[in-house]
Amino acid sequence: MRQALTLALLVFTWSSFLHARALRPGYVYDYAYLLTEAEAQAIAGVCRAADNVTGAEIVVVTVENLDEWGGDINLARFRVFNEYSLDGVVGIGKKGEDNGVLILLSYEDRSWGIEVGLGLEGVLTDSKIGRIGRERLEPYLRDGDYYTGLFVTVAQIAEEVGYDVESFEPLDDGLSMVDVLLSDPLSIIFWLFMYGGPGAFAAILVLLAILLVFRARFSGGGGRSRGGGGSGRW
Amino acid sequence: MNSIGRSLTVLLVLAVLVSSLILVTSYNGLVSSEVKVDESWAQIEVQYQRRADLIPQIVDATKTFIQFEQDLLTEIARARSAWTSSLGGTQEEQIDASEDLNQAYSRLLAVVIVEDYPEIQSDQVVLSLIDELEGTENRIAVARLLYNEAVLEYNVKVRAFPSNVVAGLFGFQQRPFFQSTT
Repeated sequence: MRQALTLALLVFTWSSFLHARALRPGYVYDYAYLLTEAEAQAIAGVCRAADNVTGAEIVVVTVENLDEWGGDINLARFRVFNEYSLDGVVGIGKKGEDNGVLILLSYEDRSWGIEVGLGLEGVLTDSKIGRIGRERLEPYLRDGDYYTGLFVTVAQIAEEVGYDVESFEPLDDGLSMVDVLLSDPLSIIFWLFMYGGPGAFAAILVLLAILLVFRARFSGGGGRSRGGGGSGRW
Repeated sequence: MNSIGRSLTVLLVLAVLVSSLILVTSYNGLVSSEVKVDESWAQIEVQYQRRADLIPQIVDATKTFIQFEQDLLTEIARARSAWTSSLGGTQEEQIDASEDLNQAYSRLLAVVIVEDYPEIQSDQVVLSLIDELEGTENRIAVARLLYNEAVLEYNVKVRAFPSNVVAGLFGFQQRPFFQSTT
């Protein structure tokens, strides 16, 4: 009886864990401080909702300059897309689907670059990106209105990847079962220990260890790109 | 004496086992690195082909505007046919032909962008073709980067011990890096 209960608990935990939304920890990384906190959150909200519906990850990164990449915006967007650790997640887009988009702004060079993951190259062709950059991004950036430029661009790209921006609704706190387990493991362990016995206790410890180790794998990321997209100056 | 002989046999068997293990893993490592190099090269070829296909389109789209730049148009046509005939050749020949084509195209782009053709600069078809070509240029740059990374990994395996012994045994040669001319 006790073993059956333990098994049921484990299956329940695992299944809710597997169904947990694989959303990234963050979508807007404003290293050049071009946005206010509220603005960054507003943009991230659209990215998050689009990710939740379509699975495509749109990420915004701003940097002061391109010194790290020898002043090359194209190299910068490729490296940031594929190799940068953003909150511990490397690679934009879901692993295997490669459905990520990176919007990179470099403040001092007045350059923008958009890198498109392999899986979205068919939808977001280079010419489409070039057009979005020229018509949606550049006009606002020239006026110093980074927020509107980025917001409009993110919204446009979200539409292109199949998210109906009209239907936008901010997600709730977005906590998955994984987060709950990790944020309050003690009470769950205690509960299991009381009702499930030491076997369940040990099993859940192992489970939590696995969760911690593989957390990054279940938080989105892992997408790759091969230089698709476009870039320009404002 | 007998026990020494026995332990020698055991040692010998162990040595054979270990060295054959090293041989197998080194060989497999070399093969997979070489496959990666070839794959990366194929990516470069794909993007070269894409560029060679796009350039005639952009020539067509701009032809009406720049028909008096006949030299340029014949130059591009020549470079493109040189590229087509280089396809069966070595990597160096392909690289040369593609760079040749690229230079001809860059001159066209300079005429279109820098010189006074405002009609072209606002033409949506031409603009999107230029976007595609610039995108292709960037893909070529990325493909080169990945190719050179793959070559580096492979060449290190060819030269470093113990895989260099295996490489010598099975005739794995070092591969040339892609030296960019631009």
